[in-house]
Amino acid sequence: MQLLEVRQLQKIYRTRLGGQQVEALHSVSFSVEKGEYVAIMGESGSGKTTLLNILAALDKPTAGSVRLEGRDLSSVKESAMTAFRRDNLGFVFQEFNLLDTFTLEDNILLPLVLGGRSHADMQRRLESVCRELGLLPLLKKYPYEVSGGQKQRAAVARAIITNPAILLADEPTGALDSHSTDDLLRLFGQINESGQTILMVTHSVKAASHARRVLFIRDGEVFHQLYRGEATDVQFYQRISDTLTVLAGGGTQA
Amino acid sequence: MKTGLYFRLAQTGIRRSRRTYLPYFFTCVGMTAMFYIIASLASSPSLTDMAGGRTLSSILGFGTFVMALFAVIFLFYTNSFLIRRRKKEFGLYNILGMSKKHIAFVLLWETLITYVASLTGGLFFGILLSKAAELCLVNLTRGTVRYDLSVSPFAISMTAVLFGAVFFLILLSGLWQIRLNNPVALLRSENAGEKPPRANYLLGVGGAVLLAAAYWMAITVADPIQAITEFFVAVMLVIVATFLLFIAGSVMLCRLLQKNKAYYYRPAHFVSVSSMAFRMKRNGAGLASICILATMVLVTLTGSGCLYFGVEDSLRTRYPTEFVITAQFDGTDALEDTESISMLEGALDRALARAGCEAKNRIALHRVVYPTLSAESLLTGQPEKAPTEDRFFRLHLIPLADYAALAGSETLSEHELLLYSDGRPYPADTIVLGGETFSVKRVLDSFPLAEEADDRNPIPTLYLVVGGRGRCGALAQADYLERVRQGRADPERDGGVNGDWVCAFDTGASSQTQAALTEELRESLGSLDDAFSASIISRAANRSEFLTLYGGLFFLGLLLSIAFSCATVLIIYYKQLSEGLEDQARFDIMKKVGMTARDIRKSVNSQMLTVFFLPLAAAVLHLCFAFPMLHQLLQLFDLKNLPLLLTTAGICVGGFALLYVLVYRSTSNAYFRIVSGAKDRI
Repeated sequence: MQLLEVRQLQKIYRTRLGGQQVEALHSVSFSVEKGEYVAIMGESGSGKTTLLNILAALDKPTAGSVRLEGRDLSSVKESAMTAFRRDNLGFVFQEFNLLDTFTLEDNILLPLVLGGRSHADMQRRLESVCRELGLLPLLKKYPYEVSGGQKQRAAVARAIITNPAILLADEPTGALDSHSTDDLLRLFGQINESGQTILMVTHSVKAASHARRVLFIRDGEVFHQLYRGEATDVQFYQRISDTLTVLAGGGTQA
Repeated sequence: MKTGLYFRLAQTGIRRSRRTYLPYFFTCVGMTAMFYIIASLASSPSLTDMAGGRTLSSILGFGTFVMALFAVIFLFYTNSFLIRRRKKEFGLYNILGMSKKHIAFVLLWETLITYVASLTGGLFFGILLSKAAELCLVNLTRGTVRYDLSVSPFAISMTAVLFGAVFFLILLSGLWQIRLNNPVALLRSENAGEKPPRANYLLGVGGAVLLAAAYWMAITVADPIQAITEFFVAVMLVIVATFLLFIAGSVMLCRLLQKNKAYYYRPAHFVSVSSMAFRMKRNGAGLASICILATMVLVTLTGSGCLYFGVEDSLRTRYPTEFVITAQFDGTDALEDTESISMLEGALDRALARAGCEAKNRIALHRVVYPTLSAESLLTGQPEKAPTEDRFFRLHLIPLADYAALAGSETLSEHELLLYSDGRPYPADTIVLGGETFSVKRVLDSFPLAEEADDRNPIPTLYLVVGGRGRCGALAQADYLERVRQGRADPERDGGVNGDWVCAFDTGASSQTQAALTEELRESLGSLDDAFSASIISRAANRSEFLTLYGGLFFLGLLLSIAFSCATVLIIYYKQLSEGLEDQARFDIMKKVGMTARDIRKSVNSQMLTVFFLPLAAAVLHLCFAFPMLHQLLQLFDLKNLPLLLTTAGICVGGFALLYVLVYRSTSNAYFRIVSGAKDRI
């Protein structure tokens, strides 16, 4: 069964006075299967962020539908939406978005606390997630005391501690140095192997080259997609790079 | 040309941050106006014309000082808030190629603009409102109104100099801050990573101990003299304790709550407890200031208001009967000078008749008044002690006949006496007087005219009733001579033993009639023989003086309360503003992580309520514990009316709480407006 099914998504923004119309998404369709690791690439203004906002149910499409595990997102009531997001979706952001008033431990536990879990349950999950992510020695630290890479790892822990159906990542390597980027991408590969579905939006060819599949978006449409197949990271990197060159040259669909 | 640039930069700088600058500017104007008003009133000619105007001017002079001190502290405080926000702008200038010297010029211009603008505005409103303030003052003291508008050049120059100095200091501190920072730090100063608050148990517990000590001092205070000496100590303790508790104690409490996992890891507590710890660390000082300002408003208003509204009570306590006439004779022989006494009574009756009133509750008695030197050892027949170890008494001897006429018949044998001590311990059950030993037959519960005496005098008075007028005088004389012989008394210095005739009565007449009667009495008694000197104490004649004093104090209390309240409002406003800006980002994250907007609002609301009303609650608590002390202090002003004190305090608390709630509502709206500006995107 398809885990995520996006059909003919269209999003039109209207300026406040109703004059100008901007079409951010024209018609986007794709699907993601359970356990996949998909990267979405595109230039600034190509509609990536709009797409991710709609997938995260933070925004509503003008037309089309998004189904997660067969359930249409537009059928989830507004009041239940936050809980739905909390239980089914995990987020990793470019700017980490950790709360500076919490220790890393409390930051990671936040979604569970909001979900009203018992403290014993929380500790059990925290333990297993943080062991996997190598965060155990850092739990009592505050965000300002740790490096960017460590912050992002904590953010990943926060995202997956609820066992979400899908992990949505928005430019997760955008604020990291190359070393931390490698680390994080390795981590993503690792949690994907353990069965976590990941959907990542990124600019970075390097980040995308770690995924199993890459979707290219241009002018509000899925323009092209690449499967890794049996290619190595380096080969895949080359293919993505070539595709981007073609895209930038304004070529037609390959 | 270059100067023009700096001026323009300063101007746009002010204009761009008007959300923070405007309240600061208003504060400056308000402070200037308030200072001018007090300073001009203190030197106002119409004030010095009033009865007791001297006292009033010195009260207002003191007020000028308090106001100046407050203006310095407060403007510094608000300005430090502004500078913090402006650092980023200065950092940008620095990176764009302005040296620190150039930034200093911008800052100089800014300060100058603020100074000139606030001085102009402040003096404008000050002069405009000073007449209103004067009318209010005159009305409070029930003086006569003058309707000319006066401008006091002296007060203007004083205001200009004081605020010039304040702004100069503010400029210096601003320059100092800029010197200290490098441009990148300046740019980032607003969101420099903040260390998590640590619970400082030492400070927290220290604060609690200090507060307990201060409260203990306040509730165990026994008499007015002790209240005076301990009041300022207690105030200092409370101020220090409040700061310690708000800064360290609150963080400590949050940390303790966090350690309780079952409590902490609940949706309702998780976010609020941890962000409260941060908020308290950052705002502890601000909250403590609000609390102390609020306490000051409440105590000042309660004290001065109670004094003013209880003026009739004070008068009644200080002057229980409307008129007291004392005729002091030389020597004690006059105790039997019935001729002079009947002359006095005749004059009194004539004056009463002329003023058209009738004496009610008229009482009169003879007494022998000892100078204030009678020592305990002599009264008890003990061997002499050094004067420093001996207790001193004032001694009144009253003939039995006079006492019996007022209090009912009583018999005394030759060596018996009746004793009344004004509430303080008396030396012994036997008293040695003029070489004879008397046993105390009975200790009296009350004594006629004892209340008329000034019981604020720290030296206690002993009233002794002894049989026979002649014997009363003879005993006193014998005793006094013995003391002179011992070198314990000196008629040249203390005036020796005198005989008095005291008469007290009420009239129940209007205050005009009473004033007329006072004049009549002065006239008719003054024209009598000089075998004695007569003095008249009239409640009515003292009323205007009381009103001037208490009205002046109340007026000053009102003005200072307004100033303190304005300060409170401003601190609250800045607090909400800065917290709103800080919380904006936090809100954004919480939404993304899965908190509904309603949840956030609920959590923030409860936090804000706690943080906001904590200072008010603490202030009311402080006031409650200040009560025993206030009560004692007011007794110094002859005010013993506890219900009045409670009512005044209740009204003050109610009024202030209302103001506080209004401010809370309007500023919390500003807060939510800022926070809901948080963007709704991933």
